[in-house]
Amino acid sequence: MNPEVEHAEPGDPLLAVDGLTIDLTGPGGQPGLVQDVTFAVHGGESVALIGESGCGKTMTAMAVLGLLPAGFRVTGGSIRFQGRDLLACSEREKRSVRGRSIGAIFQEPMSSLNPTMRVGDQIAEARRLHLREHRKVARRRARELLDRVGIPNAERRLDSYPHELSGGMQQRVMIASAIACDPELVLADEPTTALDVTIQAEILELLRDLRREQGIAVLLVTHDLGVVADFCDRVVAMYAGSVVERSGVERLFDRPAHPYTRALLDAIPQTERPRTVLPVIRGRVPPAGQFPPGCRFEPRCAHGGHDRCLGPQQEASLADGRYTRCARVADGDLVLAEGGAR
Amino acid sequence: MTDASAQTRTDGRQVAAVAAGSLQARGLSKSFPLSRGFLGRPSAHVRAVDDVDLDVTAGTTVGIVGESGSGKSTLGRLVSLLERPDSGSVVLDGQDVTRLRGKALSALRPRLQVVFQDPFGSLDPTKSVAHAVAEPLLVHGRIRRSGMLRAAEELVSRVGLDPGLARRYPEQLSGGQRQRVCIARALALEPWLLVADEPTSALDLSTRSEILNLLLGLQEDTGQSILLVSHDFATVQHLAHRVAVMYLGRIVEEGPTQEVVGNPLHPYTRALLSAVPVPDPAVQRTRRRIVLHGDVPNPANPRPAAGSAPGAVR
Repeated sequence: MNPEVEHAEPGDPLLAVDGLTIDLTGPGGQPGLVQDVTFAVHGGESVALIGESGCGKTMTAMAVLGLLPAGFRVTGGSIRFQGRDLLACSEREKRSVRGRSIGAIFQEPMSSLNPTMRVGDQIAEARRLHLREHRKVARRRARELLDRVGIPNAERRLDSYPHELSGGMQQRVMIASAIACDPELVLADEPTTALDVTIQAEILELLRDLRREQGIAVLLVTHDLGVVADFCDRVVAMYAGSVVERSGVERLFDRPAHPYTRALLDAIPQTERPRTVLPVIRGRVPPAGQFPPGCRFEPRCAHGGHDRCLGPQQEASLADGRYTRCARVADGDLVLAEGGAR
Repeated sequence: MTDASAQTRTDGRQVAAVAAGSLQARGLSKSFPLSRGFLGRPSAHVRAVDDVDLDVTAGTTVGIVGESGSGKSTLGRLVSLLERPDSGSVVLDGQDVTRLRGKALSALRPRLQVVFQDPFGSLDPTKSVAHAVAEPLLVHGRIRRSGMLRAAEELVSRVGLDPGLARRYPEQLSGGQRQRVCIARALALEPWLLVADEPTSALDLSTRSEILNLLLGLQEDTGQSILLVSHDFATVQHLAHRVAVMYLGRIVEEGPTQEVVGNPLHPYTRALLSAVPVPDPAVQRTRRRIVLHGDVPNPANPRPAAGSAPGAVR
């Protein structure tokens, strides 16, 4: 049933998103903001969700959390977590998954933490709500969690307010509260984008340790391909609301299977070629609702204009386990350059 | 990035310069007062920039990298005379311009122009692109109001935009287009130095490469001198002939970009470079990060050896 099972350990994936479609309803509504998105995250693995802004990465992540903004509705597909269909769950059941089995970390720690609440209480709150722990027990656990995420003087820091901490420390507190209930999956939406590179490296190191020691799977939404190369096992590339390529991380960087991923890789400045003109992707991501009827990337694609580009593109699997939404690549009609070659 | 490449690189100083001139900053220092502490403790100062020397030669790009709080943006503001230093001097073509005031300062402004990070915040939403771009020309009396649109169309096409965009308003433009408009505005007065403070940080990967291409092209066509302030090593590495690494208000290392990147001498530079992930899993997963030990000193109260990074341990 699930196409991803074959290259993972036996057993169902932890998170299986299948054919997810999100519409904006109401007047001025747009169908297919996110269209037919399929991917899976297995236990302990790290999957990247990449693409430019406006490609539906965050929307997809929010749908998994059941936190779509008002007006947005899932109109097709399924989201299964540990075999349970999250879309069919009641709000109450969703709440028991969110924060307990799925932790979340967002880009701006300062806007995700409650500024009026001591950090110890914020972390303990998750355990008190989800696990019905006693205040004192939860506080002790919060101290252990602060230790775990590398905050010095954890005992004293319990009583700090978020604004008393640096950006990196705030993000550590976010992570502590995301893992407070020992979740199976952490959903991290651009967790290091607002941080300096040295702090980013520390936060990624921490997430890596959590994966190794506690087997937590991570779904990482990012546009930084360096972070993907550093941290992720598999990559789901999105463009204009649909998944254009799914691939293992080495494969993606080495042999991208979609012109869009190829173009993204080409846009990275290369160390060996300073001061050379970088290839650009012409045009920009079409605004929602103005997606072309055929291949959504075709107007910007270096290999567009072909008959096969005119119809809606279906996801096709390639012999080596990758998936592409480019009919030309799937047919072997188009061969993309490999590696860093331009 | 880690390979100490043996290939010969052009040093920034040897690049054929179309324009002439140079900018020298000597001993620049700038402190900012902190608000009075809790319980009325005496107010402290942050030494944002502390005794910094910097040279920009005509036609070259000098990059300033560092983390937040390193003073790189303040240095950019000092060099572009948006901020007056507590001590030190900025010498442009042999003229000490540090303490200019009034008309003399206004007359100098056209030579030092700035592009800021946030292309959303730096354009007035109520003014058309034409107005934004051509206003500097009007202010400095180079054109009449009636000539604004034509001047703007010309400038806008210089940065690779459709001249028709001059009639639009900022909210009708994408982030990349806005940043081009900001660059067009900064170029309007044909400055000697363009100070670009994080010009690509608010942009997507694909848009970033467009802006990098634009800055590169400008420099190659007109010999534009650029001071590029950024925390993004990839951007600086791609454009800058020379790079200065800042830490706690001081430049801890400076040199031709390829040498600094290929063979960093200061422990802080090494740590910073090792933290930048390489977008290639095969390479990235073999790299080892150099971790600095010890707390980052408070810039308001640096230790006696201020400016020196904590010891690096592999």
